[in-house]
Amino acid sequence: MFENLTVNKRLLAGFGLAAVTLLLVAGISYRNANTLIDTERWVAHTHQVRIELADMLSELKDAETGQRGYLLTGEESYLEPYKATLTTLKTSLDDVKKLTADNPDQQRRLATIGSLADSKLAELKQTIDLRRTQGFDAALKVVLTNEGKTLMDQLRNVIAEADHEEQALADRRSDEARASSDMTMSVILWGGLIGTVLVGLIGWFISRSLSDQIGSAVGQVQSSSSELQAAANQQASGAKEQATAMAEINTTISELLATSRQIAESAQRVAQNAEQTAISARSGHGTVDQTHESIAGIRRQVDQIVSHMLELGKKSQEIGSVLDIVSELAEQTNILAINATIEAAGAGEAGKRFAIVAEEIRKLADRVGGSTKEVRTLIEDVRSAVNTTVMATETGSKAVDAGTRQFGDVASTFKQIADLVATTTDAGREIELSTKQQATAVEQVNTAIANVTQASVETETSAGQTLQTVSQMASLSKNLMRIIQPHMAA
Amino acid sequence: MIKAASQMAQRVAELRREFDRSFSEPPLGGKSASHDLLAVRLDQEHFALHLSDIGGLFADKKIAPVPGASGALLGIAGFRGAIAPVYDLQHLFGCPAVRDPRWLVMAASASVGFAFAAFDGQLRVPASSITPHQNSDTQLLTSGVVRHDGILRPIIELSRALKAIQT
Repeated sequence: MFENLTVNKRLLAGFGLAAVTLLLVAGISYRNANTLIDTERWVAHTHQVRIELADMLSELKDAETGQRGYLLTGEESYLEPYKATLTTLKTSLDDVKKLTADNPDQQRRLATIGSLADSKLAELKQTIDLRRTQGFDAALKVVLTNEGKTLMDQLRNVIAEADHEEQALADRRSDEARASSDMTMSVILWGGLIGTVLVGLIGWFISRSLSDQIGSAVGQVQSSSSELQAAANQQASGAKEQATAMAEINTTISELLATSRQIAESAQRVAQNAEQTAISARSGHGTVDQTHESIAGIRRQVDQIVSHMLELGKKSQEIGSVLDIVSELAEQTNILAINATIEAAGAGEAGKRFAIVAEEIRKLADRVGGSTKEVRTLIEDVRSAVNTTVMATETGSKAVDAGTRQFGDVASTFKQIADLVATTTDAGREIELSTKQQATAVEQVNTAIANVTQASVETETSAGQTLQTVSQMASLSKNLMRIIQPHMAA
Repeated sequence: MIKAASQMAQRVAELRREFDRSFSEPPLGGKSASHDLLAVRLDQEHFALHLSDIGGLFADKKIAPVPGASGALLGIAGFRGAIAPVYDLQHLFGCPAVRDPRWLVMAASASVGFAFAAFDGQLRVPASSITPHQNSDTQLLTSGVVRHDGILRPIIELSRALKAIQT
């Protein structure tokens, strides 16, 4: 059971037992000392009572002496002791009563003493009064009755009894005090011896148990400290390697951070350029739209021109048709004139005047034919110009269409470009944000790495300190073992 | 355009003046030194015909082909209620046959028609502009050449063409 107790409890138990022993001795000694003191006090009390009783007797004697002196001399000055006794006797008696309030026998005696004292004082007063009034002889008569002497003898006896009582009490209390002091001495002596032996046994027992347990614990501490020392060595070397690796990682992370910052700056520039490109694309898109609208307007105008030119062509064609009719008429007129000339030639002289008319008609037909040719030529020129214009316009219209299509393609491409630029801008912004976040993360990693590096350095330092501490602990445990179990410390 | 319109107006005015002048000028009866010719084209070659050899000039005549027709005979056509054969004048000259000829002349001396592709008009030329062939070979279908407006035209003798188709 005792082995299950902790060191603290063992020490408490041991020292507690010793303390109990000490307390016991001290308690007994204290009690005996109190008894002794009490006894001494009672002895002093008894002496006080005896002194008071003696004083009372002395006062009575003084009173009697004064009475006798007055009786003899008749001088008032001889009554001073008597008068003093009248004042002090009651006080002394009250004092003694108080002092012996716990003793009924003494109270009874004091009551008797008081009564006798009163009688004595009365007798003295009587004699004094008689001396004062009647003279010496009257007083002498009373004196010779021996009442006073009897009272004084009784008083002496009672006071002697009281004093004897007190003396017996004092002797008994002195015996008690002596016995008490003897006991105290014995208790102190034997209690101290026993306590010493007990404390020694307990100390030896505790020491042995503690040394066994502490020794085993110290042994475990030694082995643990050895293991801890090895572990601390490993930790120190590992911490050093870790610190070195963290320094390298720190350098790498710093380079990575610089690279990330450069990438972030580049991404920011790209995003800004993309933003500006998007703005330009949007403005260009607006310009393209305006140009597209302008081209559409040109297309419409060209279509109008073409339709007008085609209308002109139709009109010229109609004119050509009219000219065809005129030309046909001129040709027929010419043919008729020729045939008329032929007939007129065949008619001989009678047909000469008709031949003249036919000739004029022919000339007219020729002129008409020539004019028709000129007009036709003009019409052809106009039609050719119209066709050329229409073809040119058609070509231009086709070119405008092609241009419109191309412009549409350009516009759609521009829009695609604008969309792509917007997407690129968004992507650029996302890249910028991502690179910024990456840079921030790398900075955080850098900070964390720096903290880890510092922690590694601190770990290395603490590992070194731990190693040092463990070494000290191993040394201490060895010293402790040497102290506790020298035969095992070797 | 305004310039063209003014030119047309001037042209109209000139035509009217010439027409009116023709009534004021004396007739041209004394001009026996001029010759009337018809300017024709055979396969883009310029020729001329004596107006006196022609009985009539016709255009866009419907020529009905006849079965068994060969050589220069194109077919028959109606001329003022009479039916006459129509020969290809170009074929007589060895030119490629005219397809669907528009013009034809009726010979004055026979009811035979000669078709040709193009008619350039009537010419009244002075006799001095006609140059007869030096070699008066009657086998040739032309008798001379005439120069008019810078164009040299051989003059076809329809009588010789008639003889050619008869043989």
